This record gives sequence, structure tokens and C-alpha cells, in this order.
Amino acid sequence: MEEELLYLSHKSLRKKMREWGIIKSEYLLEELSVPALILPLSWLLVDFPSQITLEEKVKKLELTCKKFETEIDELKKHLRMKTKPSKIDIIYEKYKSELEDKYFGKIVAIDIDEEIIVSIGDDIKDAYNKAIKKSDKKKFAYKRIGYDAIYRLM
Amino acid sequence: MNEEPCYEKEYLKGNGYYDPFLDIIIGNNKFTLYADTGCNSGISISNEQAKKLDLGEKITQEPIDVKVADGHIISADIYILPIELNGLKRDVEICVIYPEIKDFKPEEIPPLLGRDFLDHFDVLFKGKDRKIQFFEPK
Repeated sequence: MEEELLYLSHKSLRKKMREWGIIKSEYLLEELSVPALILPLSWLLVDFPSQITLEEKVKKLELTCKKFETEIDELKKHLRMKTKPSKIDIIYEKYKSELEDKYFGKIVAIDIDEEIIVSIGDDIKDAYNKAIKKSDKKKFAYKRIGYDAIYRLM
Repeated sequence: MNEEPCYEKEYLKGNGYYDPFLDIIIGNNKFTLYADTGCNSGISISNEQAKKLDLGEKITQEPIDVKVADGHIISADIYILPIELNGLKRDVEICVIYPEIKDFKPEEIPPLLGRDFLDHFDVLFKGKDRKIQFFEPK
């Protein structure tokens, strides 16, 4: 009895899906169970309402991919420091002796693209404020002269 | 110090201890931070916590190095933003750390309120009374 009911609901669902153009192949359909038929249908109804066009779906997915790409790039930047010397270390090394003689403990703002020292300050805020007056850029790399870290936490 | 503090807050009990936690407003968000004189940035939060905030543009072209209590060095980005404690507004360096890179769990490093903010004031940790008091410096 239960099997018969299941078959009937299966059959009516198949009919409806064929009417809506969701399924075409009768052969594939016979292979699928009822939950396997219901799940894709509910997924279509919940995740992609009929008002959303295929182009919009693609756009939505592209935006999500871009967001993840940015996040991955950001994490890679932080991971790179773990494995090899950063660009900051290489540029700092060039000016190291002069900086450590004159400005030990201060913060240096570095322009990585130009490979130059832009400013020196007592803290990052100070170095940043001096650097933006000298350069058109708004982002710099920083290093505490003579130390391996800029901040200490706890 | 005989004058009235411009702000005071009783310590909060967490993990069995009374600690100086303060409610700070960053943008439109309220954050509860641990007042920590051992932290020399203004605020230190994890990248996961920072996702909930609109911090704007970072000022770091490349991540900076930050040393944590056990000597490990982790990387961070820096933002400069005004923050507010009970109407007391100051521009501070916000250090967004990436603790998971060094196998730290973000919850192991609590959000901290550090010296770049605290040094704008005379701060008194009244251990016996379990209170932290802020005074405008003369």
C-alpha cells in the first residue's frame, strides 16, 4: 500500500516536472528516487526564484567568486610573511645601518613600489601623517627600526 | 589624584577574575575591549571581528609584524579611525590581526584596548576597588 502511494506521488510529481520543462528524459527519471526529484526542485524554488534570469544568476555567482578571490589574496599576503622575507625586509636591509644608527626604535614608512623610505615617525600614525604629506599614495609599508615587530600585544 | 574622573567603570567578572573591560564605539558598533597596558596599538582585534565593522581603507601596503605574549610573530593590517569611550573621542591605530595564520584561534586573543588610546589620558587602575578611572591630563 505504502509503495503504491509513493509510486503515485512519484508519478504525479514526474508529470508536473515534465509540464514545467524541468525534466525531459524519461529514462533518467526512472533512475531517480522521490527525494532525488524533490531536492533539485526545492533548490530551484528556494535559491533561484523564477524572477531571477540566468544572467543575473551568473552575475551573482561572479560577485561571490570575486569576494572570495579578494579574501584569498588578502590571506595569501599574510601567509607569505611566514615562509620567506617580505618586500619590506628586502628594502629595509638596504638602509638598515643608516636607519639603526640614527633612528633606532622609530617607525619607518616605506614605499614598496618605489623602494624608498618615505618618512620616519614616533609611531605609525606619526609616520603615516608625514608620509601622506610627501607622497600621493595613501598606503605604505611600516617597520620599527631595529626590532622584529612593530607592536607587542599583551 | 583628587579631581573627579571624566569616566570610570567597574571591572567585569569573566573566567573567575575581575578585569577592566570597556565599551568602545567604533563607527556605529559597540565593542567590549580589555584595557591592556601591555598592548601598544590603540585597538587590537582579529580579522574575524573586523569583518563586522566598517573600518574603511587600511593604511598598510603590506602586512606588519606584531609580537604576541609567547613571542610568536603574527601579521596585521593597520587602520586609523576615531573611537569613542563614553563621549571621549580619539583617533587611534586599529591593529587587525590574523591569528589563524600562526595556528592561534581568534578567541585566544581577546580584543584589546591599548596604549595608543590609553595614553591620551591619565588612567588609574584601582585594583582594590575593582575600577578603572580616566582623567583628562593637565
